[in-house]
Formats: sequence, structure tokens, C-alpha cells
Amino acid sequence: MPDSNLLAPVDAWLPLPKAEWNETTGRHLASRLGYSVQPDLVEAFLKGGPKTSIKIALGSINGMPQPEMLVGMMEEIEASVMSLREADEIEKREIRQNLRKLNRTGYNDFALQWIRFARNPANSCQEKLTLFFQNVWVVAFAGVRSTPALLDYQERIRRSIGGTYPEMCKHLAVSPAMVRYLNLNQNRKGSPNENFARELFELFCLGEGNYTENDIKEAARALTGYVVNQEDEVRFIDRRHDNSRKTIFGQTGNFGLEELIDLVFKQPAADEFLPRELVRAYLTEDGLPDQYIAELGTQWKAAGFSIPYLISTFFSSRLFYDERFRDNLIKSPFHYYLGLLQDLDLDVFPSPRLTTNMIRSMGQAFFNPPNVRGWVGGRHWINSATLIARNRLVQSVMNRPPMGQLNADEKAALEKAVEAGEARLQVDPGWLTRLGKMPLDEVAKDLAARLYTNPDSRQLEGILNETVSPKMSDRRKGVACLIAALAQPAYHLC
Amino acid sequence: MSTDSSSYPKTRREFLKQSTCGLGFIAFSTVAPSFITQSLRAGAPIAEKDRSILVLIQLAGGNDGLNTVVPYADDNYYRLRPKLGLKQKQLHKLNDQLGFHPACGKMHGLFEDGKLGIIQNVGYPNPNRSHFRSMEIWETASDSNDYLTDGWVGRYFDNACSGSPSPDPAGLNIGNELPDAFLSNQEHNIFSLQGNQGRRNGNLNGLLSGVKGLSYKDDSNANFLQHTLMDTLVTERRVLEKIGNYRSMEEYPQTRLGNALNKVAGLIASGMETRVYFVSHGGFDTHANQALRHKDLLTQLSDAMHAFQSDLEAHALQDQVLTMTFSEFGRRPSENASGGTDHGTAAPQFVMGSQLNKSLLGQAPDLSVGINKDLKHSTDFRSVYGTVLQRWFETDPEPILGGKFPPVDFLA
Repeated sequence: MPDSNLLAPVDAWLPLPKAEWNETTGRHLASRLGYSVQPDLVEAFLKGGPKTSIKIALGSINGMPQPEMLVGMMEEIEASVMSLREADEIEKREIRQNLRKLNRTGYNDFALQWIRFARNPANSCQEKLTLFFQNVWVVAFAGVRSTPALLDYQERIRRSIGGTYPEMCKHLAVSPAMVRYLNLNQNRKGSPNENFARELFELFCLGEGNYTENDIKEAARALTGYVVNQEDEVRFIDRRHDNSRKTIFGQTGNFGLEELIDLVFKQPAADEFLPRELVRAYLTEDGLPDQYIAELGTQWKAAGFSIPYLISTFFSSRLFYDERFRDNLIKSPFHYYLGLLQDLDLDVFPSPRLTTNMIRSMGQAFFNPPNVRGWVGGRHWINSATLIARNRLVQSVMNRPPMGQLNADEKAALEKAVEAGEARLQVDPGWLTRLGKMPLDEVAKDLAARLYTNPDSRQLEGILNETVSPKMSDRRKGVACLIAALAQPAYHLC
Repeated sequence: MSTDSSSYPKTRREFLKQSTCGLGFIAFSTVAPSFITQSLRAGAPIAEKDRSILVLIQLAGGNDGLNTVVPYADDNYYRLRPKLGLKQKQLHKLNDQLGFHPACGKMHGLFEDGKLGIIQNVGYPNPNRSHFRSMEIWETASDSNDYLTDGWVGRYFDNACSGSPSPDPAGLNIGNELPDAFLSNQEHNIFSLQGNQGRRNGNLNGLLSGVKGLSYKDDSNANFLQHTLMDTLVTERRVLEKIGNYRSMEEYPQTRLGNALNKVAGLIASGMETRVYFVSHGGFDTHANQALRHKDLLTQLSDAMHAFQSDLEAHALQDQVLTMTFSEFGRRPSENASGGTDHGTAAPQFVMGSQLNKSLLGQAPDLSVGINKDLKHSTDFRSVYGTVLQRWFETDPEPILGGKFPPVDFLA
């Protein structure tokens, strides 16, 4: 926890002085912004300084290519939805079942394609940020059940990152995924459903204690009228909208969604909400004392709640680089998984089943958090089950892929990946042998620089000395060294 | 960096001397397992063994309660289920109203012997029909519109099991993922064992080097990681050793559930201080062609529960163990057009043990409902949990369940 030696709140968010921009601070930025401290990534950062690095990482957001399988299914999904209208009860049931199956298959493929997209270092930082917003504005496949709606939702987040937070909120509120997930389509004049109104205040914009129950009731009325149909089109239906006057946060008027969100951002709590979330996700799970958040919030509000301003200020600030915050953030399962692939130069295993199961056993599932609060993270990521799962991943990449466990589709996908030259699924045996031939102090230096935010290799060297025996073959030595390096607490932290 | 390990040598040596589980590696590490740390911190010897154990069996997917405990005397049942309705003469009669599914012969025997209790029509207000959300409500014991980040068992650990250091995990789960029921606010040793037959958790030897480094600052995450790693390794070795040494007195069915309960019996018999075990039995989401599927699932459940109870008795452990099933919801009373049932609400819960007070509890559901309408629960599931907490674990249920719920009389 920060103590009295921490910078004063007014100085905390000033840019890091040029003189302090060096290998150490550069590695810290790389590990927090993305998934890895690969020397070439850090090098690119070091050339520019914090602001330039953030621009490189997040300056222009790449769209994600549409997952092919889902695109191939869209026609069938649309045709099924259309045929629901004329179907009798028995046919409807069959169509719905088929739709569920299509969406489930499409969702698994979307998960895999996203993991592949995020694994590419050119997209890692933006996707980490996309995932961050997905964990603030939570929707889940389990509640939405439409894969195209999830795809649309994620793209809305990506497109909003360059704008302001209130704009993002407006884009996400009326997305088909959210209208379904938090029951906006059941929220109509005369029978309001408060689910979305409550979470908008509590989990997306203000935080608990910054609104009254009456504000929620009135806000729910302001949000009436939105419906989503089977084709994932959200429409506003005037006669379902409650047109009477509402009183929210002490203001009275005939408010709708736009006005409601504008009112939300007039609340002092809105200045601090997103900065607080950002600090917990990217700096320290313990959070910061209120006055630091308040200071950043004041600056952010003055900048019109611009997301790029907030990101740039935060990641280039003196406080962000304070040494008490280094190497102490626990990697999320996605971070651990994607980082490992980048660090060991591996491709994503082209099986949705095996890949998502692996990450799920570490505690995270794509677009399926445990509840509307999203993942708590931090120490909650770590327990015996998840540590064993992380170890299982490490063991699995040391060897050939488990061909015996693959079904026909997976074998075909693997062949396709081989043809495309995207089938590096096992750590390069040649590299392991080379590692095994090197003196241990060099191995420790090499691995610490490649894997840890703090490249000090003295401790690792001692451990490798205990791990390796002269009887081992060079390759066995290499494997033993790599496994030992990955087993250190330092590799679970960034 | 401090070397806090230097304060443990005595305890550690003692521990190593007594250790029969090949835990020699602890001698080469710089961190002690947390039960040693805790006992030093608490300055107290390990607490008296308290041996009331709960085994949870999750019926994942939503078990069709009406076809498990069948209200054969109610014409409504056959009106709602013209195809799926089970004929009276096939059933194992419980009384002149109810009968067990034909596959539940062994459970019926347990019921006759007073070792199996049925709590009828259990659910909660404002039922949610999403598998995922409803299971979460059952595991976190929350209101339908409330989202909790900790589980009811985890809160029990927080409230009642802190400061009693033990080398054994407080909660043990057979399966890959940690159940939400175990999520807690404080850190407890919670362990997962892979469910697959005879498969270990993979090769953990590589993890040893993670506990060999210097020790880290006390409140750092590196220190927390190192200790969790140590606990994992210690627990894994102990658990595998115990399972390996166990000889069950009873033939278990060769099913996933049978194997899982066999392992649980082994761990209980070895004197593990674990308080809560969690196993899962999945596949109950019977939207179509339910009849055969449900029969298989109930056969597996009934046979495995019976083998488990007999095994406990053969080892004279039956008085220490209470077993309880739960499912996220029952199915809709009216069958659907695909020979299955859709997501519903209330369903019976089963409790098994030698200490039961009564065998048939709660009110039966009212079946005078229209097609596609749902049952209304008569017992809140938190009443069942509260009874377990109060009368089995002898702890105050109110802080754990966030309210008062009238007890159900299956335990005295």
C-alpha cells in the first residue's frame, strides 16, 4: 500500500521526467500495456519515451477481422431466425435448438479468433484495453446467447476507445448485447425493469453509494422503449417509452437515454470511477488513496472525459513508474497465456475446445465472466487449481501436441495451420538444446531478460544451479531451465 | 528481501520428522507451508480435529425433480406429462403419494433405512432460468437480484475456519475448475484434484523451483504466490499419497461420479481435516429425449451414493459425514414436444448420512398449474444451508447467509 513517501497527489500525474526514462521504466510500461517484455518490443518503446510508446501501442486501433466460421454461419442464423415466424411449436423448438448450437459453435470460434488476434504483438495493447472495458461494461455469452451481438459489442468498444467515455457509454447501452444482457428490452412504460439502470450507476459509471434507489427507479423510466429482435436489431419504440417527467440526481425533465448519461457525467463520482478502475487493473489491485484518484479525475473531467487523454496521462505519469508498483501485479489468465505464447514464440493451438478449456481452468473465460461485476482479479487469480493449470500449460508446450486427443475437425484445423505456417505449438527443440549448452549464468541472464519485468538474474542463476545436473542431455537441461524460470513467482507478476 | 524462513527451523524439522509423505523438498525451500506459518503466528498448537464433514454433489444442468421423486397419486402429474410420466407400478414407493424413479432403487433402500432425506420443492424467490446465473445463486447463496463474489462455503471458511492451521485443505474439489461455492474473502487452502481416472495433476516437479528462491517481502504478491505454490505442492503430495494408500471396502460403480466419491472416501478415511468436499455430476439439461438420459444419470447417482455410504460405514466413518445434492433448478412441470423438459424452478434436494432426524421434509409442490407454467418453491434453499451450518457445523448461519431462514428438520 502507498505510504507517506509517495509523491504528492498534485505531482503524481505529471509526466515522468525524461531522465527517468530508461530500460527499467520501459520494461514496466511494456509489461503493463501489453503481455510481454520481449527485448524487441521494449527496444521500440525505449526509442520514443512514454507518450510516443503509448501512441505506438494505442494510437490507431486495428479492427479485428470477422471470424470466418461465424461469417459462414450468418446466413443460416439469419434464415433460421426468419423461419421462426411461420413455424409451429414443434418446429420452433427445433429451430431454436439449432440456433443455440450455431451460436455456441460460433462463440467458441470467435473466442479462438480473438485469442489469435490478441496474440499478435501489433494488437496486444489495444486488445488488453478492450478486455479492460469488457470487464467494466460487462456482458456475458451466458446471458446474451447471440454471438453476432457479442462481436458487435466488442467492435463498439474498439471504435469508442479513441473518443470520450460518455460516448462509449451511449454506444454500449443500446447495443443488442447489453439490451439483452441487462433486460432493457423488458423495461417498458408501466412495467419498468431496473436491472440496467442499477448497473449503469453501480458498475459502469459511478460506483456504489453515489445514487439513491429513487434515482434508479427514475432512470429506469428514462430508459424505457428499447427493444431488440431476433435479428439483433435494437429499435426505440415510442409507445413503450415513458414520456413523463423524471427527477434524477435532483434534476427534473423528460429525460431519455442520452440525457440520462449526460446527467450521470455531471455527478462528481463519474470523474473518479473510470480512473479508479484503471488503477486497479493496470497499477495495483489495492487501489490508491482517494486524493490521488480525485486529482486524476479532475484533470480527466477538464479534458472532456477523453479516453486517450486518460490513458496517456496515466501511463506517462510519475506515479505509474513509482518503484513500489513494479513487478507486483498478478497476471490475469489471458495475460499469462498470451504472454507465454509471445515469450516462447508459439502460435495459438487451433482448437477452440482445448485452448478455451486451458484458459478456463486458469480462471478466465472469453466474454463469460462469473457475473455482472466482472472478474475481481488480483490474488483471486491464484489458488492451487489455477497454479496447477498454469503449470499444465507450461508442460504442454514443452512437448508435441496431443494428437490422440484431437477430433477430426481439430486435426483438419491443425493441418490448415501447418499449411499457413502457424503451427508453432511446441517450444523450439533447437533453442532448448542451445540453452542447455550455455553456461548457467548466461542462461539465467537470457531467460530473465526475456521473461521477467525485472531482468535481474542472480536469484534465477542460483535456482538453475540446483535444478540442472551434469548427467542431463543438453535438451533436458534446456527444458529444466525453462520450466524452472517459468515456475518463479516473478513470471506470474508484471 | 527478508529471510523470514529462518524463524521456522524447529517447527519445520518437527514437521519433516513427522512427515510420511515424502515432503523432503520442504527442507530445500525457503518458505514454509502456510499451516506452519499460521500456527506460529497464532502461537497455538493445531486445533482439535473437528470432524463434521460435508460432501456436496452438484447435479449440473438442472435435475428434473418431478421425475426423480414422482407424485404418482396426483393426476396433474400425468396431465402435464403424457409421454414422460412414469407409471406407478415401476416406481419405488416412498409413501401413498410419492415414488422414486425406477433407477433409484439404491437410494430408495437408503431412504427406507433412514439414511437418505428428501427435502421437497426447494428453490428461491424470483427464480432465474439461466443455468449459469441460477447455479451462481445456489453457490453464492444470494438473493435472485444480488451478485456476490464469494460462495456460501467460502464464507463459512471465512467465519469459522480461520486461525485453525492445518496441513490439509479446508475445501477440496474433484474437477478442474474451482466451484464458486468455495470463493472466499480470506485465503484458505482450497485444492482441486483432476477428476479423470488415475490422472494426476500433471507433472508438478517443475514447480518445486518456484519455492526454492529467496523469500520475498511479507505483503508482496511474490510472497503470496510462493506460499500458495508451497501449499499446492504439499497438498498434492499428501492427497495423492492418501488416495494411493486407500483400499475401499466397497465396489464403486466405474463412473466419473463413482470414482470421484471413491477418492473422497479415501481422503476422509485417511483422517484429512478437510471440511467440505465438492464433486460434480453433469448432464441434467434434458431438453430432448429425456427418458433414457435421465435414467442413466439417476442410475449413476443412486449407485454411487449408495457405494459411498456403504464404504463410509465399512470404515466406521458414517457419523462424521453428511452428503448433500443440489442443482441449479428443476425442470418445467409440463413436458415439451421433443420428449424433454425445459428449465424450471424448484426441485427436491437429497441429504444422506447416519445422523438424519427425518426422511421426508418440506411441502410437496402444487401441480395444479397450466401448461408451461412453473412450480412455486415451498422451501428456500438457504433454509437447507442454514440447517447444515447450524446443526452440522455448529456455526451461526446468519452472517454467512446474510439473513435468517427457518431451519429444516433433517438434522436434530
